[in-house]
Amino acid sequence: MNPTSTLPTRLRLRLPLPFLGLVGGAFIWWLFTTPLWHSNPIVADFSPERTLAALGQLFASGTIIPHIQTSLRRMLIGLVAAIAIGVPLGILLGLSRPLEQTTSALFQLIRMISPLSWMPLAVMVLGIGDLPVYFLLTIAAIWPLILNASAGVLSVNQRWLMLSRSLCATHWETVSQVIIPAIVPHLLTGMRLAIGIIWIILVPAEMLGVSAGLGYYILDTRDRLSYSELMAVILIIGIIGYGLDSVLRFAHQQWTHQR
Amino acid sequence: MNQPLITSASSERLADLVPSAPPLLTIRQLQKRYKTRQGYLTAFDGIDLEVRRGEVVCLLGASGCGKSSLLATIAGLQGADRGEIYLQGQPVRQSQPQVGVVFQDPCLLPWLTVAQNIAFGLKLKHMPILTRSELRSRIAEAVDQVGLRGFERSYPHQLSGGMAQRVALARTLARRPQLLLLDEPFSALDAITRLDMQNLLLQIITQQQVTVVMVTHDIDEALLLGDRVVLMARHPGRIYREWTIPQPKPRFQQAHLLSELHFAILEALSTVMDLSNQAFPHSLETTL
Ligand SMILES: Nc1ncnc2c1ncn2[C@@H]1O[C@H](COP(=O)(O)OP(=O)(O)OP(=O)(O)O)[C@@H](O)[C@H]1O
Ligand SMILES: [Mg+2]
Repeated sequence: MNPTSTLPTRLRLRLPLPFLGLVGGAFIWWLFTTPLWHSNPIVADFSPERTLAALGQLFASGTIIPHIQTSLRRMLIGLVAAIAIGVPLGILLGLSRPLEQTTSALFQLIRMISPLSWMPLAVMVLGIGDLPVYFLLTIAAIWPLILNASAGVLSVNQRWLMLSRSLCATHWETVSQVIIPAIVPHLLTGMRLAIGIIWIILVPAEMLGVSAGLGYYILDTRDRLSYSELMAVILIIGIIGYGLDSVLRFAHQQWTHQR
Repeated sequence: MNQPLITSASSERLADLVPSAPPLLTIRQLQKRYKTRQGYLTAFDGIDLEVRRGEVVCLLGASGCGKSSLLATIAGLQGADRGEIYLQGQPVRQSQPQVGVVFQDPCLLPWLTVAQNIAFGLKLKHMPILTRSELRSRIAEAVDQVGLRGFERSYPHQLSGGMAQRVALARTLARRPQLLLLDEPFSALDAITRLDMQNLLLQIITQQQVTVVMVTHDIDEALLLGDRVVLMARHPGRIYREWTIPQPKPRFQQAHLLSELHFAILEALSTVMDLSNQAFPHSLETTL
């Protein structure tokens, strides 16, 4: 099947391919930064050896833990807010053609504005602290949720709606017992995209006026010229993001395979 | 041109047999038109039909003659453009809890188990409220009826086509409908499974005394199950002729007695096809 078969069989049997890719990436990283042949101390600071040492140090001393917690908390709040607004709105748009038409141009326009361009406005209106960060995360994450929910409603099997009508279900029963379960795969896709966006936006959003979080910590390491720590935090951000995405992907698979 | 073709002889004969009890279902001058790009398409027109309690009426006709449209209209899933439908004397304007519909495809909700699919139809708001144990026994009864005991916890994708259609039947039967509307329920099944399902349906009909209007493509199926066979012509869909089948059921062993009727229906069907092929150019009306 697919490109797998072009690789030597022995290699394929021993190592899973994604793992191979990760090892390859790490190798390239190491090649360009290792202190073994890079005499520049700044470059060497970015090397995997030192990064891993800094990573161990960060966890051993526990300094990074509160920042991870803060970032995850912000992500969760942003996600919950985006779901609470985006999913019902998306379902409503999917159910009502006039509403969808009324809002489509407006939403497409707002969607195209980079969430980060709201930053100054958010700070002016909401002040400094967690609130503007939540606002940025929510407005960034809401679009995939709205779009996937409404696309999901529009793609619900017409036969199921017909069945629901033949059984004399009320409107609400049809929405809650047929449409919502039917669009779960769409919602999971929307959530997966939303988490991806939040996690990406979170770091720059935490660079303004907050005093904790992974984004804040990156600026902090830069100011302290502690580049191995900087790389360690970047690695943590990547790993957490990958982990979140994997969880959502797994949930999606579980649901679509119908247990 | 259509009028003289409708034979009234058989329906008169039926009227003699009918006891004076009012019919369960009465349809008067029913018409349905679909709006299409080229104008209006008349799916059926001038349909008159009476179905007595406990009767099994089979609707037979060529593809596209409006059988499914008629059934959906009777079920209240779509409005008629002219004419009336009465169920126990009450006009039908929307779907009714006492009417059960089974479609050609089982239409099971894939995220629910067999038992949950059956329960779905029982737990809706307009249904009488059942206690948990009543609900359970209703489901068990329906599952038993269609011979699916042991599969209550299976998901639809784990079932064969025939089993899925049994679940669809069980879901409808569990609601104890007075009128069962079946739209080619077995046509997607292989011949052996179909025979099995016909047998099952026959048992259910005799046990529950349920009234059935069933669309089918299959003359043999109509002869096997029907008390009355109604042949529809198309362009527009209308009732062309009907036959009463007096033989007692089950009729699995009486194929030879029914063969004459089989050929009579086949003959009428081919006449209808010829007629409708000639009439086809006029079927799209551009009025309005
Ligand atoms: N929703 C619709 N909109 C427009 N035209 C329709 C619609 N539903 C059915 N028709 C048309 O009405 C006519 C009757 O269709 P219907 O499905 O009732 O036929 P049928 O007798 O059930 O055919 P078959 O035996 O193939 O199932 C057909 O010409 C069909 O194209
Ligand atoms: Mg049909």
